[in-house]
Amino acid sequence: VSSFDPRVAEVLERAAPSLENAHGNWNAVLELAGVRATDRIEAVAPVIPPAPRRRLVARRRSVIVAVLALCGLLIVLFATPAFGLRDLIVDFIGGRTSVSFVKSEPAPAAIKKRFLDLFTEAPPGMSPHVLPAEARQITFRGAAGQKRILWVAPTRGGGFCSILVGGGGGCVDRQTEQSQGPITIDGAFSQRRGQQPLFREVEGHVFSSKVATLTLEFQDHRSIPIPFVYVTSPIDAGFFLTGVPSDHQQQGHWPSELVARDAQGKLIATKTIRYATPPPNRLPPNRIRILTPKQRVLPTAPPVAPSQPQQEGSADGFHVVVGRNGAVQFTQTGRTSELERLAGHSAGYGCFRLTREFGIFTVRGLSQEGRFAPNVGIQLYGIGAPVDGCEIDGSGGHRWPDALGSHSPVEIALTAKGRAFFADRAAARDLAHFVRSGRMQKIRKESGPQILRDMRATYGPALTHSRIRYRLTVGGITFTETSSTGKTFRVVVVHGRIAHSNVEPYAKVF
Amino acid sequence: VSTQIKARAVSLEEIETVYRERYRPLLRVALMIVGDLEAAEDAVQEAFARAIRHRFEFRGEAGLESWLWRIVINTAKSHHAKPGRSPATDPAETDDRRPDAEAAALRRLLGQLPERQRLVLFLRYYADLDYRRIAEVLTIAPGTVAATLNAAHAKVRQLIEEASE
Repeated sequence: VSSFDPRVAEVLERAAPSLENAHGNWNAVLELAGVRATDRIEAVAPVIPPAPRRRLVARRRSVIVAVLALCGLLIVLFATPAFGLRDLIVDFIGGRTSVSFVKSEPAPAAIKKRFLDLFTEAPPGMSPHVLPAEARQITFRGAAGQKRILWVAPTRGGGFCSILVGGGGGCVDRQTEQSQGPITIDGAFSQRRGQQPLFREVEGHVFSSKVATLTLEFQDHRSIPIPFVYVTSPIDAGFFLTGVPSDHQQQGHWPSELVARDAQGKLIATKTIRYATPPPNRLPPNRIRILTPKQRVLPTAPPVAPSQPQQEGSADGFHVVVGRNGAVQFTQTGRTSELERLAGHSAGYGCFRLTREFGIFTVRGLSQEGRFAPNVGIQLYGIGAPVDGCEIDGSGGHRWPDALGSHSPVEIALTAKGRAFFADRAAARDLAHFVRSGRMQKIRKESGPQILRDMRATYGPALTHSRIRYRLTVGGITFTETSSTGKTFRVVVVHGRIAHSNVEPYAKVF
Repeated sequence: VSTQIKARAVSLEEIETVYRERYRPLLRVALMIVGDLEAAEDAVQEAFARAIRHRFEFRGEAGLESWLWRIVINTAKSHHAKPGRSPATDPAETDDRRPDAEAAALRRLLGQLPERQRLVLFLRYYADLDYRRIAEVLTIAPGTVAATLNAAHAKVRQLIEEASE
């Protein structure tokens, strides 16, 4: 700023440093604004002004039906740039909008990671073999014109996995498709105690590219069209999710049939909706014995021996060997007061690998819970190698302050990353356990100064001597705790609720 | 011409762009208003969260950036007015990023300026806003900006001289 008196400029410069390292935290802003991760894409889409469509229709009242139909199509094409879809739409027939999969924008990293979770954590033989990097985001309009967002990824076997915002998700293989016919339908009820169930919404798939319209018929012989989005190859499937009108939510007016027709109105398929009385949700007596974790005896060795190259480590009275094949052997080598406490109780034996998936820090881990024993073998799958650490976690605790400083009774770091993880997780857990403790859940709802008074009265020296720091903010309080690695965890509470936190994936706070 | 055309909904992307590109000036101005870096960070964060929640109310009369500056300044002023901003006494409340004494003293010195002079000075120096934009943010006439800035300069020079005597 050249026009400034140098003396004034110097004062201003020295009064506020240039803050070169300040970058802000946009995700924290979104959290505070109440924009959930799944809403973000929807929220980004600009609002479509309703005026042009209304004016257009008003001026053309006397024009013949065919022109009106054309206007309808133009309006759709006009409106879709708001979703970035104009170039993606392959065709628009009846209630179907066909969208090009290959031209659709990639799904956000967090969604790709959710698809990856389906793949990596499934037991052998049960993985859908989804291709998460290929996931796309599809935006379309629901029955009442509301925006819908669908994330869909192909699978290696020619099927797909999908997540429909506000609806369900899952994976479909080609065999399932063939066995289910051209259309599927599912419904969602809600029921309050002592009241009749209400049929809220219907959701389903279309597995035939010939389907141009879907009609939902009701028990009272009325019907409504159901719009759907059809995603082109390699997905080759349609999706719909629509709310049931309020006058069809009561029994006697419920949906009775879904009818699919082609562009010429020829019937392709019908799906009749049957309402069966659900069986009582009770287990038959004396047929299934459910073991508590304490009663479950874990194997003393993994199903196969740990293969080479092996990773080994010892700490807290235990030695662990991890094979390249995911076989893990835990062996007790010493006695500690914590291990004494675990005797006769349940414990979780597990290992983890730290990685980044689509740019998101991820802890890939697996543990098995059972009765504490000196020799336990487990088999890891879907974790990858090498692992960064193994641990034995007790079932007790989660009160604040924790006797072990929020560490597990046995923590064996196998890499430097693993060692840092144990330190960071302890800090994050300590903070999370404090903020989410029953007493704090009540205290944090108080007004500013009262929060401080109640905290001091409740926790006294324990809080003062802890690593937790706090300060009042507008409408709440912010807690921080810094790990021995220098990483700082923060939980922002506004009006008693968690407005922002960075403790995940180390811990959960609520 | 429909009046509805005037009402322009702001997308999250537009707000995010201003946040990312102008974060440091925003933070500096907020810091000068609240006097504490962490509280300034909170104020900017809270201001942008408010902007997101109220983005459908943006009328486009002033530019988006001016609108966001106004929200940041108002939020920072309300942060400054909140109780509990006095220096911490509990060991658990200490702030390891407490600004150094000289900067704090200079901020106190600048705090002696009337509010409008301070805000004009901060927006001109830290944010490098032109007179028209400053006028939009503070909802005053552009001519008033120039006069206020002049007066602010004179006042700061006077305060410097008094302090060095």
